[in-house]
Amino acid sequence: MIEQLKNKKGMISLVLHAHLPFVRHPEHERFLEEAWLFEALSETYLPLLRMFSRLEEDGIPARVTISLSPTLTHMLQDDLLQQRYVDHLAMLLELAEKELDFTASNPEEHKMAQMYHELYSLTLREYEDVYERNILKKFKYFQEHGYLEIITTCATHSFLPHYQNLPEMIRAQILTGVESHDRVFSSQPKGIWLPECGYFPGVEEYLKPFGIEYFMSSAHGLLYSEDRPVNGLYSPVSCPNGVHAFARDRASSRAVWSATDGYPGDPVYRDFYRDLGFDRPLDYIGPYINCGVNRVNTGLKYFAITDKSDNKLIYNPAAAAAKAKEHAALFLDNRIKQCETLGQYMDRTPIIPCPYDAELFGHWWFEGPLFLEALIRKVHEKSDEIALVTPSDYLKVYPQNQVTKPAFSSWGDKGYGQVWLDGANDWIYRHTHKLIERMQELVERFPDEKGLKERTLNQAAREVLLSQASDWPFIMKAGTTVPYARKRIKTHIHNFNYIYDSLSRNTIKTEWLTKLEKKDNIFPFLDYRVFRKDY
Amino acid sequence: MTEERLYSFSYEQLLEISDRGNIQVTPGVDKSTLIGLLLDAFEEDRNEREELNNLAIQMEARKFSISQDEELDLGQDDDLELPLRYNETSATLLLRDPSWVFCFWDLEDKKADEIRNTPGFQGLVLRVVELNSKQYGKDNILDYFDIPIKFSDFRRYVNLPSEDTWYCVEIRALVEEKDYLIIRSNIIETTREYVTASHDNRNSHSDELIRLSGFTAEFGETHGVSGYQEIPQRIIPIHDLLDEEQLND
Repeated sequence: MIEQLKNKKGMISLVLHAHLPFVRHPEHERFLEEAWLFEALSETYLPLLRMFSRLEEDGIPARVTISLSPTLTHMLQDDLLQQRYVDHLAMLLELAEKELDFTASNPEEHKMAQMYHELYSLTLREYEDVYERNILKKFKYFQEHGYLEIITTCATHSFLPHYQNLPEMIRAQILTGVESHDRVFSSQPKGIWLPECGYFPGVEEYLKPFGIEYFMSSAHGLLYSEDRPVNGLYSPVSCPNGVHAFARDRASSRAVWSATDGYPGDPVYRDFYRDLGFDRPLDYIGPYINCGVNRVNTGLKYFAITDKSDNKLIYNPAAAAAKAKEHAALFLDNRIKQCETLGQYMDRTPIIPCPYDAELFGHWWFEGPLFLEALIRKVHEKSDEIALVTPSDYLKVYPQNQVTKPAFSSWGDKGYGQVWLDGANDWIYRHTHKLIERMQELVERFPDEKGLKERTLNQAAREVLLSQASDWPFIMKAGTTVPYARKRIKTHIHNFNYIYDSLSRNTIKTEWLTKLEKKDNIFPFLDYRVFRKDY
Repeated sequence: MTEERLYSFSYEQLLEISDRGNIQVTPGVDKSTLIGLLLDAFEEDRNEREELNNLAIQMEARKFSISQDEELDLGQDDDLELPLRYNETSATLLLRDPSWVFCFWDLEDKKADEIRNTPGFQGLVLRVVELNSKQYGKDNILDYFDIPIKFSDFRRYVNLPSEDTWYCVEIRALVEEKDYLIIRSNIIETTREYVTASHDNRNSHSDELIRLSGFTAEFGETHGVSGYQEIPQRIIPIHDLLDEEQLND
């Protein structure tokens, strides 16, 4: 296999990062932000599994890397959220049925209503009967059968560079992420997705003890390394301790990411922004939107992108599917040409790392999974020229790589820490840093507690980790659902401080603690001593 | 935020929304005009965010875009007030990008009173110290500069003069002609925004490969991502980056 890969023109490494923050609100009958998970399930995770099943049926091999974040895997296994997802699908099916009547006099829209009715029926059937509500088993299956390499990320997706002066916290984030992965998939991850590709020199020292072999870096993080990377972005570099950094290729990123000049902006693809939730009369759509008055996306979208005007053409699934195949062929041809060009200057087979947010495929770019499937099939057809590999496959072929230190970087706007540290969100760090300091103080004061006190300390550790999610400062900066993000951070800080004060006064309220444990129930295995200095 | 949604609110609620969004409203303006102003402001804000955020960020944001009403949550988080400070003496430095750091600090009330009452006290400064290593030592100081601060200040962004070096900050009290250290922050290592000239000689084509990676071959010149208005994925025009036949995507 190694010799075969060395003889190719190039290798492509598709790395999909699947992540959502921990959002679970048992205290509310229905909670708007839980829909982030439901939409991703219907539009991305289930379609991806469907894609792998079809490939398997047709005997088409694939090697794709996917990072499934610990917060996401926890939510995917959570009984409450599983039930709520089933309820959510039932609600959408009801809406789709209502739409069948509503659109009866409009054949084009009626076809759309039928499409969604079939899609949600299939989704519900698969979710209940095939996956028995736990799709992670199927991801594990595809890993065991060689289609996937599942990697992890930090416990709550913390942007590590902003905590680099707090080594216990960095270690706690990574250790908890690795442990969560091990418990779900019964295997140690070979790679890690550093949240937001946030790298700072030295982070690799925290990765190595957990057997992590590689991480993904932004392009400039690798190119601005201490020594110039001799192969540019097209082979990884090895940090001095042997952990490898693979960088994101720009041309392939842009082709898929950009809404304007990338594939997803093609006029025939489904328009993400035109949703039934905003198109139907309020009294009609009321039962399917937030509190009957706040218009929200329902997921039923009938129109194609068409152009920038509001006069959209109705979506044509067959035309969109054909276009996705065309784009996949174009993408692959361009990567082969790119490899041919690169090959002239390299003494080894180039690798083109293509990391993407998994939710791009399906959620935002509805045809994304079709594109991926067509790409994988095309690679198989052209397997004498090009191969789909995971980063660890590549490291088996080329274990020795240039040793240097990458530079501080992220994949965020302007390339560093600006997204997670600016006027919209910088207030959080005084508190989150203080929480870590106080958590360490608690570990020193209570080194070996049992019973109620241990439960309390474990919950305190959970609240610390939850307060550090990069999603909340990100949302504050991006400007979507800001009040919720602000409230989440404040709530975790408040919960921790309440525990801290209770422990200081030795007045732990069991009922309050139990309620909080049931609400913020992530990482049930968490041991508060993970914050100990010499853990 | 839809027009329909805005009309469902009372005039007082609309004023509250405009207040929260720092939208200037002429006193006594009628409801329709007020709604028009709010819609314009929301649109402007949304466009600005779209322009400012790069592709990765826009894509991530879409995961969270389930509603167009996110600007409004009248039941906010006001009941969860966090302390403004922790009444302790500390200073922390975070690296934001190659040129900017964010520092936040606090002075314990008792300590602040002591300093304030010191005979000859003239003021506080935030000293930004450049070091030649990650260890603090008088011999390791390369340079420093002072920024006057007040007792009521607790945070600041600071523009750094040098790349690829080490920095810390100190809060110092100026007393008569001398200054005294109150607290020193952690030390941070800044980064570089250029492809270094040093390289392994094994590959004489590295200039070409760097160019094909999307970066200039003019090594040593600062040509980084943070100074660009454009998205970081595309530092130089795509035409310079790829061969003609590769432009089809």
